[in-house]
Amino acid sequence: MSLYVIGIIVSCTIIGAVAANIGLYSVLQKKSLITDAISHALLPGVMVGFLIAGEKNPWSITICATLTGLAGAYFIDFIVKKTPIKSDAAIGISLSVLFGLGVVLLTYIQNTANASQSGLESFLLGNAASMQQQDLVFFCVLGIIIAICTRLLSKEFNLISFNPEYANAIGIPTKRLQLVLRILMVLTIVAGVQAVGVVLMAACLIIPSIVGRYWSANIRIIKNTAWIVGAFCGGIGAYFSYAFDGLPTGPVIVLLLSVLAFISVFIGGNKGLMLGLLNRRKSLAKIHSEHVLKTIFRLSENSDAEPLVFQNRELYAAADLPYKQFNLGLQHLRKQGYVTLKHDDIFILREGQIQARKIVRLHRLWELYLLKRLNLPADHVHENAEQIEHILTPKIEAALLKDLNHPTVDPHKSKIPHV
Amino acid sequence: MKTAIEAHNLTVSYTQMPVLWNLDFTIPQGSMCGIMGPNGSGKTTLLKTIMGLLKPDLGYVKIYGQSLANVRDQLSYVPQRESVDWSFPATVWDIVKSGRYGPKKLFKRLNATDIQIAEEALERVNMAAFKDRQIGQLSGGQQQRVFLARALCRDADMYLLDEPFTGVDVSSEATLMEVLNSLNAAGKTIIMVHHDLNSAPQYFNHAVLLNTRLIAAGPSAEVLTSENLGTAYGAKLSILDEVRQEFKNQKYPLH
Repeated sequence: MSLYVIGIIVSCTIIGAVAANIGLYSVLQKKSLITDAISHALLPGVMVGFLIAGEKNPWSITICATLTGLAGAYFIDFIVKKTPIKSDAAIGISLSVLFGLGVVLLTYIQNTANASQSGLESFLLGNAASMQQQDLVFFCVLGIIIAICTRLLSKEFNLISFNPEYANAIGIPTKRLQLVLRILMVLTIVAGVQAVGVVLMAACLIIPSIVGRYWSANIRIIKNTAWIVGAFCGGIGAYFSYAFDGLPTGPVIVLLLSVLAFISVFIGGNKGLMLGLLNRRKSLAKIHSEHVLKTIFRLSENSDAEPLVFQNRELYAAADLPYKQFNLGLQHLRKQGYVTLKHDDIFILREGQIQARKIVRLHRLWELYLLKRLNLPADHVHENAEQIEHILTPKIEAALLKDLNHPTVDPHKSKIPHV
Repeated sequence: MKTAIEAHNLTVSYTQMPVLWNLDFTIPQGSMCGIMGPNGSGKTTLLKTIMGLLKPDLGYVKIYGQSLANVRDQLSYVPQRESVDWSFPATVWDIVKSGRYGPKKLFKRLNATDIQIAEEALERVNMAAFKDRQIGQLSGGQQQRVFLARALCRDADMYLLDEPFTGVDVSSEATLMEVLNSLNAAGKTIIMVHHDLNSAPQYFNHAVLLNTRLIAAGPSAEVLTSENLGTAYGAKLSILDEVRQEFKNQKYPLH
């Protein structure tokens, strides 16, 4: 690997990290799509910058692209403020108009057959290999400056993203900070478009934060996850595009990002789909087990048999549950140490009996509460209590006891068992 | 007694028809003051105008006889709880310590004193146990206590709160009121947008009653009379609403 290739990988790593870091604020402010509008709006600026300098000069391209990027963003604000058009439509308008203008300019430049125009089309889909050595240094330095500015202002950026009105009230120059944030965002996108392309750059700002949010609800962890993900995909993407000759860098980086995003959506530790399924399974097992416990209570309410033993078939028939659910509940009880299973016999342990009384007690207390405090008729309270009994905490139980003045019988004249 | 807030000929509008019209009143320093009035009467607008978040068309608000910019450090503001997205990925501690931010803290980290003040504020609203909790997992009352703790961090002389008891459970309301009363006992001025007429007489010793125009301002016993309340809540300014809608539909160029 030559020094130049390492340079490309390093610069894509830096750009990936910076884009993820600044993109977090657009996600938090629910303005993710603005980043896409800005990145499309850069294209005419890049072309004008090229026309002015007569070559691919990073200074002139950066300045012109920043101006059109900001113009695109403020064009959206203007439309939303002055017309009845809503922001989603305004973003669509600004994005396509400026992108269209950029493509027209690109075609014009290509038709003039200027020898130095080679590589301009790489601004569309991104090609890290089209960056000259001077570009690499320039954009690396730009990226590092953006990262430092973002770090210095991060606590204010957090606050104006959460509660701009309050920030304003305590004298923080909210409008100016929003402007700084927007300029930093545009500069980040400018630094990245040659490698990633205007069409896909928004993904580098948005996706890392999405990945982060699936792993944590803490803003610092989200931010750290995001920039590490961005840096990793930027670097690896640049390497792949170098190793497999001719692969455009932008799509490779975006594909890597989306793979991580998909994985996070499924197995993420914060609201990931798998976690939801597992929790659901767990709570279902608990609910079924509590129904089995109630059946046990019902069958033994008026007997003092010790030890308490049931036949599997007998309990199942009384439980009025589909067999699968009955078994799930029973296995849960076994794991909790409430029952032991021997062949077809179910031995109810002491702890199991206590738990059975507990759940029936909650059921009957809740029924009584509905009857007394919500004035529901006695024959309507059972269904709701069947659901609510599973979620009543000891704290709520204590409150119910106090509110109902330590009752002894439920609306159906059954005794409320003691534990 | 010194005057905390003086509004003179205060007129504020979002479009062309004012939502607050020609308000003249004063609130003395050290009072526990309720801003009362029916829905849409301009209570929140008044609070935001005092905080400088909205610019008046006419008239002025003076705080301790000065303009807001000179005395901003002495003010603390609690916005409406519903005005923010509570699913924002922040902890209770993140929110409370942001009460120590400000123009002087730009580019700077909080120091040990800031941290200590924020911790005491959290303690004061009984939320220390929830320090690392996600704000989205809190109940409405707990969220409001977090907002009050953030305001307490400012160590201000005057506290302005926008409907702090909306969607708040009874015990949180009691906690909040206890903290506010103790602040008031220490000589701080408390100004609160409030809509519950039943609790108002026992909560406040001063009141400002509005409905677009000022109905009455002064000691709450004199303001919250059935006659004044009848004027504020009874006769709706329905013709004014109609004119307002007409403006919106026609877009008359007035200026």
